[in-house]
Amino acid sequence: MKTAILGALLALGMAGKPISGEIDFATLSGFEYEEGMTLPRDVRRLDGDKVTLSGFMEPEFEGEEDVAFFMLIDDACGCEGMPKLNEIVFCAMPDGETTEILSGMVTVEGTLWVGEQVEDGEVVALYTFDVDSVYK
Amino acid sequence: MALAAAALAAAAPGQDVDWAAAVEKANTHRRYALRLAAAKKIARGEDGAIAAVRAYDREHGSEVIAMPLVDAIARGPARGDEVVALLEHWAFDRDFYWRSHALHGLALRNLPQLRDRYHDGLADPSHLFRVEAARALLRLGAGEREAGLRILQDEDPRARTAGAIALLELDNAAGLPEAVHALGRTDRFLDDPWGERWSRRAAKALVGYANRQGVEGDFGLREDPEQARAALASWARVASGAKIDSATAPEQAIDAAGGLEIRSCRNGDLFCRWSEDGQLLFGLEGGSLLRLDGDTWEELRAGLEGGRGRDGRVICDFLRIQHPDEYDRKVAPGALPAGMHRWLEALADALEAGRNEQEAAALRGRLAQFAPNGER
Repeated sequence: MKTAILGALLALGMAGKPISGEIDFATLSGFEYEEGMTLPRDVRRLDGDKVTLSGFMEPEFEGEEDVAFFMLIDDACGCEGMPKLNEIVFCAMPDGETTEILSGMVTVEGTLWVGEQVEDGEVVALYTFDVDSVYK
Repeated sequence: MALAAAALAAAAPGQDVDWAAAVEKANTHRRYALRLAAAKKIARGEDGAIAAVRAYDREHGSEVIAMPLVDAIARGPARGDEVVALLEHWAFDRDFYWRSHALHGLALRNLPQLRDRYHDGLADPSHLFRVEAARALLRLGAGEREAGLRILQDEDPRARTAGAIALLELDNAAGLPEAVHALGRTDRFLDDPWGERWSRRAAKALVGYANRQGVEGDFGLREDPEQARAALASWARVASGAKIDSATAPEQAIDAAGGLEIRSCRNGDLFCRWSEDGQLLFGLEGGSLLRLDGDTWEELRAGLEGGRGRDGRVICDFLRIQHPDEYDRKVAPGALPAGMHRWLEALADALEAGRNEQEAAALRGRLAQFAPNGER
């Protein structure tokens, strides 16, 4: 029994790290992403997990202030080169709710979804997030 | 964001595409994903699509051109005269927000006829532009390499690390010392952990470089980043044959209570932190520490109460003053409220009175962009 449990833990490959809970951009963007690739196991297993993640808010459309959708990125000014897809988390507020774009580092809580999303034949997102709350 | 079936395949050669509509979508759709999809399609459309982008730019002005579109074109496969002309138009327009992204595109296209402009770019106020100018020269190689290597001595630590990463991407070992140094960075500017971010970027670049030199795996970077960085540093020291020091935790020169940051792709960035008792530390690495007269600082400090929110439409460049729990305002170019403007002018006056002319000039030189009806 102990062997089975240990085996399961080792199979998860993340001894010492939470299976869900707090995650960071080091995990989400700590690999060179190419379209169609098999994502790292520790990223794949986050799909559907309730997590918290800290980063910088950017509106999906420049200049918007009160938004139902926003991007969470790992860059304070949003202009240090174009973020790669594994450096952007597309966040959606609950239906009918909006949030202001907060300055500086924020934390989002909610559900992370992992997997390539396609629009018009183009991969346009890797991470999406159903937001429960946003705070500084 | 809903999963969508691919409704449109990439345009086949000879197939008519409404490029004007695609350009409109790439610049105006409210959803980022749809702008990005359109931008990628345009980038593959070569000269026909590029002509539509130029027409849109002429009609609406470069100000409305979206970053994903610039980036997609810059990194895209088009190599004709039209795309080069478009990238030049953007890259050498000082008022164009995404000029560094456009310069990246020119760098990737190895255009020796632009070498003089690249040399000029090494002295640009924007650290991003300097990095791309260096990248362009490094890619030209031969007699231009020495000039490109100057990025490793840049005053901005972000530029030094980005330059090192650019070198490693070109399999140039000259990038190893700075990249290894960056592995140890933990610097913060108030709530921005910029040091750790650049440390991660350096680690990824070192792994990629090592892999291309025949080393397999990622040194355990995902499982144990700290150990992996030590392993990367050790490998790099052996590979380069040089004694390379990793950055150590920065000394806390002051107990920062608040600060001012100006992010400007036009005029360059400015960072200033201050303590409750009036010590000011300028620079990301805190290169310039000074103290204001007690009464002067008390007066300035009193002016930092009760301000939160944003002013104007922040697209890229912004000015932000934070004194957590009391003041946090982010301002777009041309939208600086009168009260904040007076405060910043008073700060510049105080710096001058204290014979800190360089810091005062750096501040005043950047305020014009944010003042109402100021330079864009």
